[in-house]
Amino acid sequence: MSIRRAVLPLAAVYLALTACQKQTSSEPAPAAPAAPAPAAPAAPAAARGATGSGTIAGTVKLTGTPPEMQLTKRQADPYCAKTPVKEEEVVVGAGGGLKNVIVRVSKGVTGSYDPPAASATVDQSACMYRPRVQGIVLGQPVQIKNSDMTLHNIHGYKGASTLFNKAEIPGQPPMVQQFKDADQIVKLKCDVHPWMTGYVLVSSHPFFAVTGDDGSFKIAGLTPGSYTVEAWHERYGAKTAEITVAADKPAQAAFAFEAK
Amino acid sequence: MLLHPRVVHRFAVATAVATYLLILIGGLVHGTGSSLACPDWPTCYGSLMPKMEGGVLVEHSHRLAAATVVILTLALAGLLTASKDAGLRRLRPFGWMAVGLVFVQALLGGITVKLRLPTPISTAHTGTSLLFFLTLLYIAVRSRPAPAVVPATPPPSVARLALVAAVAIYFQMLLGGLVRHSGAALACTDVPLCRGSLWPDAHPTVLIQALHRLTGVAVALLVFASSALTLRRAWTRTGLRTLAISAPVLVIVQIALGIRAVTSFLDLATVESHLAGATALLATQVLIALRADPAAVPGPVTLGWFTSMVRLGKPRITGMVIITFLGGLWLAPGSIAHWRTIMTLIGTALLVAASNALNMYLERDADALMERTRDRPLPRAIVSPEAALAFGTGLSCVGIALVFLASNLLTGLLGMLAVAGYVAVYTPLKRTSGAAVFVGAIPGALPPLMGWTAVTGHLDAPGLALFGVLFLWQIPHFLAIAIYRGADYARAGFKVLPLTVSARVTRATMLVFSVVLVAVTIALEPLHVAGPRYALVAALLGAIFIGWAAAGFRRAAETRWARSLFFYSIVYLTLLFVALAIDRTVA
Repeated sequence: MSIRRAVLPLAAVYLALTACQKQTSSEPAPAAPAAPAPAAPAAPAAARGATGSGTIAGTVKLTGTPPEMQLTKRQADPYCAKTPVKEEEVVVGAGGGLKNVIVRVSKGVTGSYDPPAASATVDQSACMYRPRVQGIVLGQPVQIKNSDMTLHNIHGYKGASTLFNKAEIPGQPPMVQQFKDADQIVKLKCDVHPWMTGYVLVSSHPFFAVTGDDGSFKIAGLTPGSYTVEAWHERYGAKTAEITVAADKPAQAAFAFEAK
Repeated sequence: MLLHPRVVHRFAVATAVATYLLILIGGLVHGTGSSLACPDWPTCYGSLMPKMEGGVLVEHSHRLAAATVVILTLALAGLLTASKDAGLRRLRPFGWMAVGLVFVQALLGGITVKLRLPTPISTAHTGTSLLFFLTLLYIAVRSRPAPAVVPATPPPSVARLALVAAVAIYFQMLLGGLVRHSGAALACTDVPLCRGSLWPDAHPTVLIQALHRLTGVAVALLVFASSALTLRRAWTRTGLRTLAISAPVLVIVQIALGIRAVTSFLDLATVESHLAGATALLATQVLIALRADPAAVPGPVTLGWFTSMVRLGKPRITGMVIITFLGGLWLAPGSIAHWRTIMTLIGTALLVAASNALNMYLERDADALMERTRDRPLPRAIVSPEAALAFGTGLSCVGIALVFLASNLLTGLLGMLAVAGYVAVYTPLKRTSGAAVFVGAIPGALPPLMGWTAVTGHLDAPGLALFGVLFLWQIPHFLAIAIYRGADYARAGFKVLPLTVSARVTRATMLVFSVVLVAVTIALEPLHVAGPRYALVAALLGAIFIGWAAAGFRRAAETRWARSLFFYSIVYLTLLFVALAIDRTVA
């Protein structure tokens, strides 16, 4: 018997094991939400996107006992250590509302949208990203500001790959970051202060919102129609819902994540 | 044929190579921030084949590659077990040890995901991965069919120095894992100094980074020495020569990559290469150690082997030394955090045990000749010299790291001085000079001073007086042993003082040191370490000590007197410390 004969059955068993996969993975990877397929490329995409008076409003809740957030372990940097701050991965408000969930229309919007004229800002303050989670429209510049008297580096990731990695010394004027690809959630990390984490949704359209302290959100300006709405949380992943928007009355959407 | 030794050897090599790649993928998981990309374990989003994108791609590839390595390891163990070749059958326990390690490793991987990456578990995951890799390397090298012409074997020092270097690299890599997992990778962004200092006055997280840099220099020197020795002694062995030339090159590349990792803010390719280089460097030293000494086969790892390893550390003596360490800690003014106390205590205990193990390694020939020591694990060949050497080196690495990180620079340096003084100065000096006892008393008296400096952080008169008490006490104590064990020492060729000078001089030395000892113990009162009631007890106990030592000048005094003085010295020290403790509690 040859070595190949011995290895092949093993390989076959292994392949059989790994092939027993569930094709219907309902939850996409947290850091890489499913990109909405623009209905058809080129010509229709270039068309101007429409806006209307339809809205989607609702809340995102966390069921179960929320995990306790510990103080960030920041003693290594004397500047940061002056301000004790807890982790903000899971922030639950009154009635179980989950903060910092990105709710966005992931399917059903066509056409292109101009970015807002004003730039967005990520402030590094007391060694935390402020805001921790926000969305921008593709083309909208993001100012990354260092309000701390300590060095930060801003390490942007798309999924597992590095988009940029720059340092910002105290007192340096804000650096301006542009993003090339739409419909991605960019993760911000500071390698000097490993507890610092932030997220920026880069959207191709303005139909998104980030939940507030009470877990509520509101997306406005939609034309009537059917949409797929995705709610994404940094720890609990993504959930989607099919929502029909009418012109006259706001559509309701509710999402619930389970604490685990 | 499937079980042909050459095929099994190649299969072992392939498994080791696969494991090397698996370690690199593991590094990518952390480097790309994908550790928690799959929230569940062992499946990812409940699936064996989730959508492979972003962090999931990296994390799940690591799991799939690990599953492949598990299967390869099981197959390898099976091949070794089924083999009829005597050489391969001897490797069976190592095959199953690898299987055990790979399952422990998988479990640690699972736990670290479930518990959301606690630093100790993640670092243990790094440590086990390397142990597993080393086991496979061992099988790969030792399963090699014997060549037709057996090459010349270099002297054992080549293999042993490489072994010491390998152990040091292993712990340096463990420290590197700690740097990553504790978030210390950019704890200082300046190079080579850390926050403007070799040892900044900063949080322990920063110190992990500073220590990794300093130990990196020590490891580099060790690898250079290992290569120089290998090249000098085994130039004709081309395999060893290639390894010995590659190792220093790898070291220089490693230092450059380590610096670049910091200056580039953890550029992924740089950090990943730093891991790849470290693992390769570890492999060079292990390969030199194994190939330079074809005979070295670790004995069967049984329960007896484990207890023998513990005996190498002399647990009872270590325990006694730890009590003196705690005495220093207790008496010192002020207090430190509990975790610092516990970690420094464990570190000091490991350093004492390491000194004992390395001393037994160096004296294994002499120990076989002495009645008192011939039952030790090394003379009885329960433990191989290589195992004792690796054990002692490993304990010192962990002990030094713990003391430096949990305590302070001064205490860490004193710990290093204690190990070096005991192993590198006192142990060899015992064979040449009766004065060795005065040198040996220094490392023996350092632990209580370390307890003191762990609290105060600096050397002062009371701390030094405490050191003095223990130093002075050891002279009559050990000379008493040397008198009643004289014949034994003579047989082993140790030049203890009573064998080199006259009985009168020995006894006079003991008396003089007893008098000075009693003076210093009483001086603890004016130094404000203890109160007048303690001083009274010290004076009383001391008077008896001096009287007992003086009794040695009686004509009839010989071994019985020496034995009784030895026992009284232990009672004396115990009561003295009890008096100190009570005095301190009452005050």
